[in-house]
Amino acid sequence: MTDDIVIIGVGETQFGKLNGHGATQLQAWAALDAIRDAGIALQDVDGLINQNPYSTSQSMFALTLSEYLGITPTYASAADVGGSVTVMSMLQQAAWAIQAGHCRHCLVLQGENMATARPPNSQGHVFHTEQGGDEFKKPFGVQGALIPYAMVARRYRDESGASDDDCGAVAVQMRTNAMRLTNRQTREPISMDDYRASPVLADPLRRLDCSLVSDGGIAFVLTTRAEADRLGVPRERRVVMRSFAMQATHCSIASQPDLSALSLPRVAKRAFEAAGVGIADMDVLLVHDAFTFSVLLQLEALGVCARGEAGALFARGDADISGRFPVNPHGGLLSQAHFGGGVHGIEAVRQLRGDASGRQVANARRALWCGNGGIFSVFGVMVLERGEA
Amino acid sequence: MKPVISLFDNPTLDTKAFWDHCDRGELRINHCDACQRNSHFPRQHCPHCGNRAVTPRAVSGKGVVYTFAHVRFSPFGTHWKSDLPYCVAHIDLEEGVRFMSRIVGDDREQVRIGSKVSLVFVDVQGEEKRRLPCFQLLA
Ligand SMILES: [Zn+2]
Repeated sequence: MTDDIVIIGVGETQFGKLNGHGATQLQAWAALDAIRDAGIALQDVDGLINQNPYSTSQSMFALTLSEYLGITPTYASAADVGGSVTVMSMLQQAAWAIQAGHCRHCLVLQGENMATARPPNSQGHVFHTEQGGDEFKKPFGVQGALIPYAMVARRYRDESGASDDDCGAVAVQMRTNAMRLTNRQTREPISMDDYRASPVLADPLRRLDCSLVSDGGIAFVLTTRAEADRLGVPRERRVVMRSFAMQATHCSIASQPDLSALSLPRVAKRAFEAAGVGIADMDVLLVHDAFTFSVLLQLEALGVCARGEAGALFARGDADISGRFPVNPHGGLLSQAHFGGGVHGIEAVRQLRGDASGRQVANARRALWCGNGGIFSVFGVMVLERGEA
Repeated sequence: MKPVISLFDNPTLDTKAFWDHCDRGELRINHCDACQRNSHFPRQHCPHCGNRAVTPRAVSGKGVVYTFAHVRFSPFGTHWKSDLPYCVAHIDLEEGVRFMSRIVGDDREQVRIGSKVSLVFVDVQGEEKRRLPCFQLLA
């Protein structure tokens, strides 16, 4: 991607259970926070790309948000790929739209009341998928995300030798990290004993292997480097998207390929090659942690360590903020908030700007954001850098 | 075999024949008339080559477990409660397709990745005419 486009603002709502808010209010709340952070005026915003909410699916959601905010964008679009890859894809679209001259200050928004607007008896996030999805899994008792991911976790643990304690080490580290910031859905730290006592919901997944279900919203503001200069945004407060790659392999668990055929290794290779860097050049890793084992699988696929060794990396403290490969200093989806995965992108920007008070990774200049969506259906990898150059 | 709990969606033009065959105790998988490869789930073309002529063919019913999970809570309400713990699994069929299904039988907690299984049609509680294509462990 081009370094002519920069992220100059990020915003977030409170995270947790926010009764009474809808997706529109949450995305607008985050948008206004990001606009203030960027130092622009509401009426400067001429581009808006947002995610259509899952729990309360809507039509024309980019226009809904534009109308609610009170802007008349010359570029507007609603997007949905899956999980955090949706957010990466929206950032890419924003960069393209700005670069092609369709807008100059573009908002990217994700957010909804995933926790409080779900239908009664819901479990996890709400997905509606046709054909290969619901019709060929529901009759067998496969619903939501947890049961499909339990099947993938079983296969991963069988192939890699990862243990309960390896997964527990991820859960404990993410909770430890979350306790260092204030805007989080979880309240209490957890220990390995808490993890081991956590009930098994679908073997091998325990309750504490599963991420949160949250209400919340996040926002980014992007513009050109020239406009950032004009606005007087200091270079160390800008973040550049150095590269982005994604690949989809399937949608439903009913069409799950072999673990070895998941797209992450190929996606990571493309993202690294495009950025001219490797995993050893990364100062902080933001890894989509819908489940604990997901983090182990992704770190191994990224080349952080060999197969089956990611749990030991956590146990040694190498994934802590002062370790060799700091992972999710904000506590991630397991312990900060989960309404789609955009919080990882926000944390990448805060870490690179040196804004992550209480959890700052020393001298973080380059971040790797590794995301996925569906049932490892799509992976995305983005390399972000502090925009000093 | 004890009847299982299930929840069916309304079939589409693509899928009605598949479920009708199941109700008659036959599992059929689409076979491509052009490239001779099999595919699942049912649709009106071959996802390998794009050919629009596919024929549902009966399978042997033999397969190997790719992965599985024992479900110990009832998702989305209490519907599945009396079947707990039930075992969901991906079965790699002899015909070269992966099939999402259930493993049934009192010995289902003995299942392992790589276990050999065979097809068994199971009655569905409260759905007199429906039969679900499940698998059981081979001794
Ligand atoms: Zn074909």
